[in-house]
Amino acid sequence: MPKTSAFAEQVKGRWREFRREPSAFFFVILMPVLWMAILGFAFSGKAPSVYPVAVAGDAPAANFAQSPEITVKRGSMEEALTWMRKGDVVLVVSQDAAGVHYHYDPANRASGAARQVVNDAVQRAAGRADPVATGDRFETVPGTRYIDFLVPGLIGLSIMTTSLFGTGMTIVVNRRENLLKRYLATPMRTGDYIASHIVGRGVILAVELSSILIAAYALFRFSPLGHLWDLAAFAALGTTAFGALSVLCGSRTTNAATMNGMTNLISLPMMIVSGVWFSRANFPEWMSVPASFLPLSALVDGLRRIALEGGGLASVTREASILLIYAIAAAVGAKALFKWY
Amino acid sequence: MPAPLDPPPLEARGLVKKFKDVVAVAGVDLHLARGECLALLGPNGAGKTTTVEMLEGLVAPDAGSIKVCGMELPRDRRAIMNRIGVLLQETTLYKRYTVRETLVMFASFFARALEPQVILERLQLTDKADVQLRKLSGGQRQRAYLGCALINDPELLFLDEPTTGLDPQARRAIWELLAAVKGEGRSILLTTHYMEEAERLADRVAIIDQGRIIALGTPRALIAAHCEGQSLRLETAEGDGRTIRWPAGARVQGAIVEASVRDVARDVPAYFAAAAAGGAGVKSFELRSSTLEDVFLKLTGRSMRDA
Repeated sequence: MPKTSAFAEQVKGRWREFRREPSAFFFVILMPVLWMAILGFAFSGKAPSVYPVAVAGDAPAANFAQSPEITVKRGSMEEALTWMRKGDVVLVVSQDAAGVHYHYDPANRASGAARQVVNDAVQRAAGRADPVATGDRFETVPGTRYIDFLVPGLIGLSIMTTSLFGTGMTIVVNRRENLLKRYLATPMRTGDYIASHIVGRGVILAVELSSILIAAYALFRFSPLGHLWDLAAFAALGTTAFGALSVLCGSRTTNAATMNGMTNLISLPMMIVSGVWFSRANFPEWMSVPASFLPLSALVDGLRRIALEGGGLASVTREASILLIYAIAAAVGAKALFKWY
Repeated sequence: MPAPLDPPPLEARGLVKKFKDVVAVAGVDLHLARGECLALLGPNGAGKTTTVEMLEGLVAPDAGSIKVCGMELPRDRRAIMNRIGVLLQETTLYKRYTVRETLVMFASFFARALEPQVILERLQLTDKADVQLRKLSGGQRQRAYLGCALINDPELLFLDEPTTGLDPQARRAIWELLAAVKGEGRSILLTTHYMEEAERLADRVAIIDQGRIIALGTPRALIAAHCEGQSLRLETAEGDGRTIRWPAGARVQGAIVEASVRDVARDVPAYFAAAAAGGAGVKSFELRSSTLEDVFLKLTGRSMRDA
C-alpha cells in the first residue's frame, strides 16, 4: 500500500471525524434546513398580514373594524397601552375633540403599516376619495420572494456556524486530550495540520451546500439564477475564511467554554448586522457601511449576487477580496500563535 | 544494522526545567547505549515526565544539551522525530478512528514507516484492526498507542508510564510486547512508578526524586549498594516492640520491626534472641530479597507510594 502524505491523510481524517460524529449531522445538515422551513413557511403566507389593533375608550371603530387587514380589541386607554407593551396589538386608536389619534412606536414596521390601513379606512369613511386607481399584484414567483432572499443568507450563516464551532472546537478538545502534543512528537508540520482543518471544511461544505440547495428546491422550488459552480466556488472561499478564523480562535486555549464564548462573541453580532435575515439597507449608514466589511456580510452579499442576480465570479470581486484578506490574515495569525499543548 | 561507532541514541547533560517558582528538573545527565533500556523510577511529581518531554523535544529545557542519535535538539528536530517513537502519558487519540486508520494516519507523518499490517500482527491486534478505539479495552487501546510509537521503526523509544491505569493482566501483556521490542536492538527510555516494571524491563534504573537522579545502576547493583542482603520483617506477639533491645540498624514501629540483614545465618537468630530476651513471642516473621522499593526508602526515607 503506498503511503499517503500527512496532509492528505489529515484531510481524510477531518472528513472521517465529521462523518462519525452524530451531532455534526444535526448542525451541518438538519439545522439550516430547519431554519429555512420555519422561516420560509412563516413568511410565505398566502393571505396578506392581519394587524391586531386596540381601540381605546369610546372611539368609534365601525369605520375600520370590517377591514380584513385588521382585528380589533376594545378597552380603556390604560389597558390598550398595556396590550401594546406586551406585543398583543401593534397600534392603539383613540379619539377626542381634536380628532383621531394613533399611538405606536414608529420603529415598528407593523405599527406603521397598521396605521396606514386604519387611517385609510377612517378617511374614506369620512368621505375621502382616492383620485388615482390602484391595485395590488403579489409577486410570489420564484426569485422575488422572501425565501429567495433567505436561502443564500442561510447558506452563509451555516458556513459561518459550522466552520466556527466545528473546526476550532475540535482543535481545542484535541489539545486538551493531549492529541496535539502527540502530533508534536512526530515530524508532521504545523502547516499541514492547520491547512487540513481549513480544507477539510471544504469537503464538509459540499455536503452542507447540497443539503440546503436540495431542501430549498424541494420545499420552495428555489433555484439559483447564477451558475451552481460559481456559487460553490464562492462558498468555498467563505468556508476557507471562516475555517481560518476558527483555527485562529482555537489556536491557544484548552478550555472549551472559553472557545465557545469567543466563537459566540464573533458570530452573534454578525448574525444580526450582516444581513442574513433582512437587508442591511434597514440599518443606518454608520452601521451598514462598516458591517459590509464583515466576513459574513461579504459572504452573504456575494452568494446573493450569484444566486439572485445571476452574477458570475467576476461580479463578486469586492466580496471575494474581503474574504481572502480575512482568510490569509487569520491563517497567518493562527500559524504564529498556535500552541500544541 | 548500525555500525558500532554510531553515536549513542541518547545523550543529555545538565537538564534544568523550572515552572514559575517550582524546579521540576534540577540538573539531570542521562546516557543511553544502543539496545539498552533505562528506567526513570520515581514517585509522581519527581520530574520524570518533564525530563522525558524535554528529551522528546516537547518541552524546551532552561539549561542543558540534548543529543539524539548524534543530532541536536532543537536544531535537528524534524530529523530526530523521524527516528524516535513516543508513548505519552494521558493521551487520547481520535476515539472514532479504527486501529488501522490510526496507524495509517501515523504512518503518513514519517519519512519512512512500516506497513500497518506488520504492527497489527506484532501487537496482536489483527482481529481488532477495524474496531474504533472507543470500543477497545484499556489494554488494547494502549497496545494501539504503542503501535503508533513503533510505526516508524524507531531506534529510540520513549515510554512514559506505559502501563499506568491498566489491570495486572493487560500490564503483563504490555511487558511481554516491550521485552520483544527491546530484543530488536532498540533503545528504550521508560518512566514508571512500578518497581516490578523497572525490574522486569530495565537494564539500568535511574532513581529520580525532586528533579534529581539520586541513584543510577543496574537493579542488582542498586540493591547491592544500598540494601545489601535481605529484608527482614518481624512482628512481636505481645508487648511493645520499642522496649526490646533489637540489634543495631532495626527500624521499629509498634510491634513491627524491619531491617536489612547481610548475614542471614548470624543476624536472623539475633532477632529471635532479642525478642525472647525482651519477653515477647514472635507472631510473624518474613525474610525477602530487597527490592528497588527498599532502595528508594533507604535513599529518601519515604516509600514510593507516599512520596
